[in-house]
Amino acid sequence: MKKSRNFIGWFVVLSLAALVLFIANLWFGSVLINWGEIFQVLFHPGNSQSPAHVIVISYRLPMAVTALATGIILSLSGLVLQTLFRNPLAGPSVLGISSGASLGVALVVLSGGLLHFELAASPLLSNLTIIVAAFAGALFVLAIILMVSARVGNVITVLIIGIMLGYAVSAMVSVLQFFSRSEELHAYVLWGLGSFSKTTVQQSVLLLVTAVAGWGIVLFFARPLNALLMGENYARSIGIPAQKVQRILILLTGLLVAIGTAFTGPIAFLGLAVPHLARALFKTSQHGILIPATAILGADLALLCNLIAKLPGYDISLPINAVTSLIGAPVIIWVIIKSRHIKF
Amino acid sequence: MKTTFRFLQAITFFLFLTFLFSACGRIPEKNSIKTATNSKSAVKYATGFKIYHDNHQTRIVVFDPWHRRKIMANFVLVKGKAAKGQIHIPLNSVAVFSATQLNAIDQLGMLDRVMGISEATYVKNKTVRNLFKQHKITELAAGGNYYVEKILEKPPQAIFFSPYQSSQSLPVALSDIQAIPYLDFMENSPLGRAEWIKFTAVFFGKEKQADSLFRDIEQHYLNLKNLVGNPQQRPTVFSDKYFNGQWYLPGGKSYVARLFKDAGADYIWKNNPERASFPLDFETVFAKAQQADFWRIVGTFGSKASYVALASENKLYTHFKAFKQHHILYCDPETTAYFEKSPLEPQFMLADFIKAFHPDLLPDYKPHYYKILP
Repeated sequence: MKKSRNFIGWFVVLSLAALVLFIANLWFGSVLINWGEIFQVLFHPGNSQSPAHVIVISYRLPMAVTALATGIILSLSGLVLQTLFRNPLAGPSVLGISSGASLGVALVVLSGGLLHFELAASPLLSNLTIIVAAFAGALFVLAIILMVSARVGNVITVLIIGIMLGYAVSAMVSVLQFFSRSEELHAYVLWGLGSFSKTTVQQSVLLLVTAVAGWGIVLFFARPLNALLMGENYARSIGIPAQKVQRILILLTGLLVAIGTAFTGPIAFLGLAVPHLARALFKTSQHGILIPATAILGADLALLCNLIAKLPGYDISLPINAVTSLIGAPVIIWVIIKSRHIKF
Repeated sequence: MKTTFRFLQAITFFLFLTFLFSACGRIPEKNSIKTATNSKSAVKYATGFKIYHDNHQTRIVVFDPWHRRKIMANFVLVKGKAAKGQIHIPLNSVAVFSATQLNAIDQLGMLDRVMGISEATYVKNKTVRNLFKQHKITELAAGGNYYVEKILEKPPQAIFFSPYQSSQSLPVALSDIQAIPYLDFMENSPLGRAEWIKFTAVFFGKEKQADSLFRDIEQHYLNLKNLVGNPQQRPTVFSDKYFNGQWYLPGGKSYVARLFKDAGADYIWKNNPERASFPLDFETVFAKAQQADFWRIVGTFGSKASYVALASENKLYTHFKAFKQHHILYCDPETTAYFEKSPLEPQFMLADFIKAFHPDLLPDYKPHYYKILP
């Protein structure tokens, strides 16, 4: 009884943190806008052309929503993949899904030099093209993984194949980079840095809806996930169709990661780090608790990283991946040292 | 404990070896040759090289653009018999890896001396394209890679290449071929960049021709600059676009900033100390440039550039005053061969800008590179 109250306390704290961080993301940026102005822009939108309005509504708001949504998506995917593969190092990038997205983008951005056409100089190379390319690339890798998993059935084999696919795909990207021109390379490298600021308001809301929907669906699988943690045989013995569940969840996380990556570029470390943080804080392996905990913590951490990356008050901003890695790596190290061995 | 000590010992030894080898491998610095001579350099605007004439020889010094006081290369050119370390001119067979320099060589009428180029697919110069089709010119490098074996099969007398900060020399296998750095792109004055035609010309014995070509460019440029004078009204201008979280702008000491100034505009980041581009956050650019009169963009939309295309790339652009007033100065690098030709035609770029910023000064002028998007 005491334990569950503990959980509720944590949930309240983390949700409040998310709210505060979200507001801070709207409030702080390179340009200093005072609180009264922000309040006016948000609740009495009169002059939609004022600089404050444009900066807060068209720039900071979609960025904050995207950070929130991506935090949820990546962390949940990380949790599900770690449980499915019973491996503490599994994460969205491990299955080759992120690399697949990178390949899609590389094909669009870098292939000018190889195929002798001028995509870089055409209006086609808009953000939308990149989104579609990333999505297609991620789905391509995902399709291969699903086909393989239908045949072999053993999750560890699928994990290894995913890692190998990731390497192969990265190699293809480096070959493309090798033949590309410097401005194309520049464009690709910038995408690879990842950013929460590539979305419009509508896209960011779409992303958030996807994230929340994904959260709901994953929550539906809490019991099978608990069972799978004990092993496939155990799951089967209590009447859970292990392989079917695995396949559905791989497809689901793959789709989520593909959509997230398509809009933001690859974001490092969140997917890997947040589930460990959730386990350390909540000291449980029950997915009924872990799933919402991971989702909210992911949102917190993504919003915090975004806030730091914006370097409030400075004219420049940092690449988000530098910040997520700088925060993510110590978190992992701290968790490992604190718990001595990683628990599930 | 013992193993740790062993380990440290091994590391120390390894570091010592590395140090030893790196010390051995170091090429003696070329700075030993004195730069100051009695003769005066014939270079007025460019800061990257100097030409000296002593008796029967010509000396060219190329400076390291990343460490301004360091010399990157030093060449002694002679018309007669060349001693060791000297270059006999005119050169008869060269490889040229910069499209801008190919354009300069074309203007000097020396394209028949060129046997190799790089990035053949992207070269726009018609004569070069024809020679390439007739197999009189071969592609010897592409995508930043040198085709070493192809070059060694039929080596040119010299290779003109563009060093970058990360790769400042040709592959070791090509060390028998004279490597000549070409660094026009590092100049931050428009006339300085054009003046590199003098550098190229010396190697082909075409100095007089280059001098007269450059004098025309200079005259034309300075006349236009004087025409603008110091206008009372300087329209404000900013440049480039936001991409993936960063907005790269030309530095306040860059080539583009200089053109803005000479064309009578007020560049919003004119006080920035950078020579190259620098990144800013979207918010900063928006807060400072929202009310700017003009917006310069090169590339990415091809010939189909339009306000609709720009808005579809990023809706935030529609909030700029320059966008609303249809004051975007656009250059399509494909149809204008901007990257290849514009360095030798700063006078046209200047005129294009003047036409946009002060249209009454050049009423009948037809722009070459930059046009206001209608």
